[in-house]
Parts: sequence; C-alpha cells; structure tokens
Amino acid sequence: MNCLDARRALGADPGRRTPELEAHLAGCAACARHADELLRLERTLRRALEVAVPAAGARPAAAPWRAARPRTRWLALAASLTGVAVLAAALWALYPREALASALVGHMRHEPQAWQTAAPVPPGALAYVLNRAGIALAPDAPLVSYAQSCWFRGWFVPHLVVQTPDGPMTVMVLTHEHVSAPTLVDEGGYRVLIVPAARGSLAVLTRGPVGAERIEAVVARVAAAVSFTG
Amino acid sequence: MSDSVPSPGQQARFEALCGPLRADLYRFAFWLARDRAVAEDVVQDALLRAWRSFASLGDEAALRPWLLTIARREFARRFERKSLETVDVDDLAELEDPALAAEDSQEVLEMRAAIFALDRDYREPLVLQVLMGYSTEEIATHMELTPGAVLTRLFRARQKLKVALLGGSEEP
Repeated sequence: MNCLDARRALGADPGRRTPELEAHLAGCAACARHADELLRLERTLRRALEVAVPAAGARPAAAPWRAARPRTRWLALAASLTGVAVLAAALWALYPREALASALVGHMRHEPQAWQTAAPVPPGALAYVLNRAGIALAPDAPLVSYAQSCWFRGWFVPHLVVQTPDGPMTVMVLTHEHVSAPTLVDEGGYRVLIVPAARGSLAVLTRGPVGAERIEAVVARVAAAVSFTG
Repeated sequence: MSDSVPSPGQQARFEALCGPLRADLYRFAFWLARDRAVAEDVVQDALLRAWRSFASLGDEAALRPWLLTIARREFARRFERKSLETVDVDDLAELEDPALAAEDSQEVLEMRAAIFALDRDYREPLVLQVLMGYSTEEIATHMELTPGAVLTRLFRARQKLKVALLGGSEEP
C-alpha cells in the first residue's frame, strides 16, 4: 500500500484499519500524522452530527411552507399521527431501565464474532474506538481482544472483549446509561453485571455461570483503568 | 394491516421496535432536511407509513434500514410536492435552536456548519456511516450506488470538511 492508497482508505473510513494499512502507518510518519488528524476530526464530526433530539410530541412551530398543507390531508392523518406521537412519547419517556440488561444480551447475540479471538486488538483500532467515546484505558487494563464502536440505545458505545482468567468477558462503557446500584442478571445464557461508573455505567457480560465475585473483580479492574477524556 | 383498528398486540410490538429508533430516524431526517421542523414532519410521516405497512416487515433485524429508507422516501416526496427554496447555509446555521446548541463547543459548531454546506450526495453517506454505523455495502444498497462510488463520496466529504475546518486544499 502506498501513501495515496492509505490516504484514500483513511478518508473513506478512518476507523477501518486493515493489516496493510496498519503496516503502512507503522512505517510512514506523514500518513500516521494524517491518520491522527482524521481521527480527531472524526470525533468532532460525530459530536456535530449528534444533534439534540426533541422529545416526542414536543413539536416546534411549523415552518411557513407547512401551512400550505391541505387541511383535508391533515384531518385524514390527524388521528393516526396523534396516536403514533403519543405512543412514541410514552415509550420515549417510560422505556424501562430494567430492560438494559436484556438489550445488552440482545446486542451480544448480534456480534458472536466478538468472542472468537484472544489476540490483542491493534493499538490504532483500539484508540479509535476509545477516542470516539471520549475515554482512555490505562496500560494495566486487561488485554483487549475485541473493540468496536457499537450503536446501542441511541449512542455509539465502546464494545470491548477483555481476556481474564475466567475467559473472555464483554465490557460495554455506557456513559449515557445510569443505574443507581449494581445489578446482576442471568438471561439467555449470559450473566450481566451493570454497575454505576464515574460517567453512566459499566456493563460486563460473561457466557456461562462465572461467579459474581469474579465478574466484580473484572469490573473493578476495568473501572480503575478507564478515564474520561471527552 | 389496517391502521384504523390496530390490535393492542400490534401496537405494543410497533412501539417496542420503533420507539427506540426514533432518535436515529430524527437525526437522519434532520441531516437530510437541515431543518428541525421538516425533520419532525418526516419522522412522523415515516412512522405513520411504517405503521401502515408494518405487516410487510419480515425480519425485525431489518427494521432500522427499513425505517431509514421510508424516511428517505418521505423526504423525497416532500421535494416532489413542494419546491423548497434554496436557502443560504448561514441562514440554516442560524435556524439551529440556541438552547439545543448551547452545550456544543465552537469546534463542533464549525463542523456542523461545514456539514450543512455539504451537498446531500456527500452528506447522506457520511451520516449513514458515522451516525448509523452503516457499512460501505449497506450505504451502497440504501443509496443505490456502487460500493466504489460510496467510498469516493465518503473520501471527498471528509476532504471538504477537513478543508473547511483546517484550511488547505483537497487531495486528489
């Protein structure tokens, strides 16, 4: 891979690091700097795209051209629109926090490949996922064998798999999900522990019956290694 | 499926599946329209249309791309029905609700203005990739493009943003 190929690949998707690209960046300081610059821009881009979402049903004043909408159409749609808006508003406001563990298990079922490797994630790929979430991981954190920036309940969150003496465990850093106390749930063959964190919460999932105290130890180690930079 | 007498079970399933995707839908519509009021209209009409054809959704895993495609078509219909006036990018930026933007840094606001200025051909694949987590192939399917064309648009979109924020010129 030459510099032009590398820059086109980075420009198309700064987070996608193939082995060829990693090898090129390791040997080309200029492209490595370019990659860092793009990653910084990518974080800003992501934050810029995440415009605030108004509460369901809280519609702002209509744009002027909307006033021209035929009244008959409005009348025909009114009941259905109101119904959908009310239902969505209710759901938006009341979406049960207790469903968090179930949502985590559901997410895991869609990424079975996450468990399939024990090799460390390339530093660049890990840095991208962490940077995107505005977090950093201390060097003494458990070995990370999988790192993806995953869409979960309205936010991109770091989805990591760490290697532990009890086997691989999934760690999700959920800065937008708040729990008031540790919650342990067994569901669908997974054991899920969610604990409050400095920002939001941390969730650790294991496959099979790993002892709660063993999971707590991993959570404590990860929590100590995570810092928030963004 | 009739939308006149939905059963409680149908309503509950629709709510449970579509409700959590409302933020995705709104942000996608917002970046298509670059207007909050239009985005909310698009979301509501898309949800209504989704409800009417909910029975045709076979695989629940396909719900999000299905909804985004409906929203995209709703937005296109609006352009067909009403020729929206061309507006100045600076005016669009001013339409942002100050209260909603109050917590954003200057850097983010400048980036947002740069995204506003992008042509939709560049803006849409960028939103799908960065915000929705779409792969190149998924964007290609959604926009009816080749994967190569998607990669080119993504590359050029980022080039334009980089130039807008950091200066310099676009690379070949």
